[in-house]
Amino acid sequence: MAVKTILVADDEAHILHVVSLKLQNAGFAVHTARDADEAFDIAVSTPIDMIITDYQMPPGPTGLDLAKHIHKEPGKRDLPILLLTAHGMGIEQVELTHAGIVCALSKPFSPREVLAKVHSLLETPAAEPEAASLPAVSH
Amino acid sequence: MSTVLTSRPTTVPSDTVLARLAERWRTAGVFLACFGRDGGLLWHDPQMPRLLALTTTSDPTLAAYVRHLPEDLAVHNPPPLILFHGVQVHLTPIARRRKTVGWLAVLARTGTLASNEEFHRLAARGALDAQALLLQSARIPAVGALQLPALAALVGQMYDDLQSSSLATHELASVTEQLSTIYEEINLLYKISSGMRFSQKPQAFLEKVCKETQEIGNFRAVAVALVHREDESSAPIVGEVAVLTGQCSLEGQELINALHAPIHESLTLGEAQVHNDLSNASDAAHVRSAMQRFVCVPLMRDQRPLGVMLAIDKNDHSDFTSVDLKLLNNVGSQCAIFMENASLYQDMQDLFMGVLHALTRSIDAKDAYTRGHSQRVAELSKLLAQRIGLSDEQCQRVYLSGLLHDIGKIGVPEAVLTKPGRLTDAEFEAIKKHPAIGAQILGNIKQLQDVIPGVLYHHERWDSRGYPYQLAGEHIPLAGRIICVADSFDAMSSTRTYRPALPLETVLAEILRCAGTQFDPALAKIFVTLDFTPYRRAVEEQLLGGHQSSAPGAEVRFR
Repeated sequence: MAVKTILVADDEAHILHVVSLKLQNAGFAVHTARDADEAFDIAVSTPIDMIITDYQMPPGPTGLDLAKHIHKEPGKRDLPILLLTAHGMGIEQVELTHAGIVCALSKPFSPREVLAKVHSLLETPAAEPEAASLPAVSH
Repeated sequence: MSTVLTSRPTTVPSDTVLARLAERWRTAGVFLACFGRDGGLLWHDPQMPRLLALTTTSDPTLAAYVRHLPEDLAVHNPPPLILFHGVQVHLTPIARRRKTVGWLAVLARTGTLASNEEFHRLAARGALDAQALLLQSARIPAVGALQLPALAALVGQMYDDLQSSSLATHELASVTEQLSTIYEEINLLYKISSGMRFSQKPQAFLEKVCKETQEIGNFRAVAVALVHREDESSAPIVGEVAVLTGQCSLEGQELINALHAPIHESLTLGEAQVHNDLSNASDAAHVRSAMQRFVCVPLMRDQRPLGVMLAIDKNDHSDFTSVDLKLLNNVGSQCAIFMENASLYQDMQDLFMGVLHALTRSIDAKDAYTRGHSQRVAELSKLLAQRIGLSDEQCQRVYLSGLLHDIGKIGVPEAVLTKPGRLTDAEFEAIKKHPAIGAQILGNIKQLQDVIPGVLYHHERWDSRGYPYQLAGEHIPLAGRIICVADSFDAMSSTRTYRPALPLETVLAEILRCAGTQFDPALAKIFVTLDFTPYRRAVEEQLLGGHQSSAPGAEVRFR
């Protein structure tokens, strides 16, 4: 099975490192971006299988904006996008659906749970036997 | 070829760095090798031209030269060694923590190669044809002899930079791993504290916590055992294991007995006990059969022992570390907070119910014939509520309404309440006020608002001829209709000043007879099918004993 590639976007370096390492150790190829614009450039120029993005990445567009724009690109309409955001950001489910976000996780997050979610979204076999259940973004 | 010019314990073999460096300089005609302090060759570029490879690996002059180099080469800065006309080697020190640990050799062809005796000797050593070797070597790109020292210094600097960068990358990976573990911990603690509801059963909460802790810490089993609440004596006694997740061949009391000593110690000292090596413990044979190592963390609040948390074995068979201990201590203190609050909540509940019971008993006690009445009505109402499928919360509310339904009698003159004969109209009017008085008394207590309907409407009649508001049929709140039946049943079934107790069959027949008039017909039909054995037992007890034998605050339950 071909190696799946995941793009991780977050303005905080430590989150990029932790998520990247977790994914790399699990056998995924990872690209990182520090903001939505960089993420968009990577997404349209490189073949990727999934995006994990932060919500607020000042001063540029948000993760929701990124998702909306990516899904408008040809061939990228169904690209799974997972949103990581601070708890209680108050993003309505309607907004998430509109932007095509398949799943939102709140910070503080468990790296294991993120990996489990990635496996389930990409339908790759997970190393760990249990698939963790994840809290949806509230509101 | 042996590697290792590594300094600090790092998994980075520095020949990776050397290989990368060699690759960059090759095309410029600069070739690299690496020597130890003792002159031994540690590494050389595998793609080095044959001539230079031979030189590095087998030239005794070079080896001797390296061996005799002074440690502080940088200070002395000798000129490059000319091995034979046309090839030079320059050495720069490789330093770790200010000490020279080896030499980086930079080789280049600096001039025309001559087919002299030395050259032939070298070719022979390598079992090569000298002529062919000469031709091949002439094609090596030439480097200016004057430039070689500067180039060598540059190579040395690049090596240091690449080495630092490589170490930094690996350190970053290591730090990130640790950070990832810390994220898991934070996430766990966050989940625990945000998921804490003090009204939930301790069992459910502790199970969740143990399971999550076990997963994150990669422990084989995690258990929580609670201290008996009664034992305020000097030695806290740990009771049964409340929760055990994972696998352990010892369970429950066996586990506690086996780990009795460390548990006791951790509670007395208020500190965690870590036992990674059980081989020396004298009485540990029993324990050793079940586990290799364990940690016992006391759960304390304000110096008071509430219980212990035990972590048993790690799935990767490693020792418990300070990282594990930190996790367990953090989770343990969260559990202690929860347990303390859960028990305070329980205390509050007990106090509340205790007060209610005391209050209603005091009202019932005015008249010997009504003693225990409120309790029995409460129980019967709850039974009926459960039978018609109300939720646990609703049933509890009906129970409380039943308990408090006659509380308004406190506003009725005692003489009227206990009058043996027939009541006058005026006296009857006074009694009819008791539902409203009861509702008024409860009206000021925010938490009892939901209980009021049962109290206020328990004397309404299905045919609207009740009091105080003459409500009819389903306009009467359900709680009121339920208590109405239960209240009448108990009144008929007990001895009164004006008549003896009626037999059960008579009472049930009367209830059915009044279905649709006094009582909700559906409820009446269901009520008569209840099992009255516990009720009769309660009545008998009442007649015999007169007092409740259970501790204040406890409900008398139909057994």
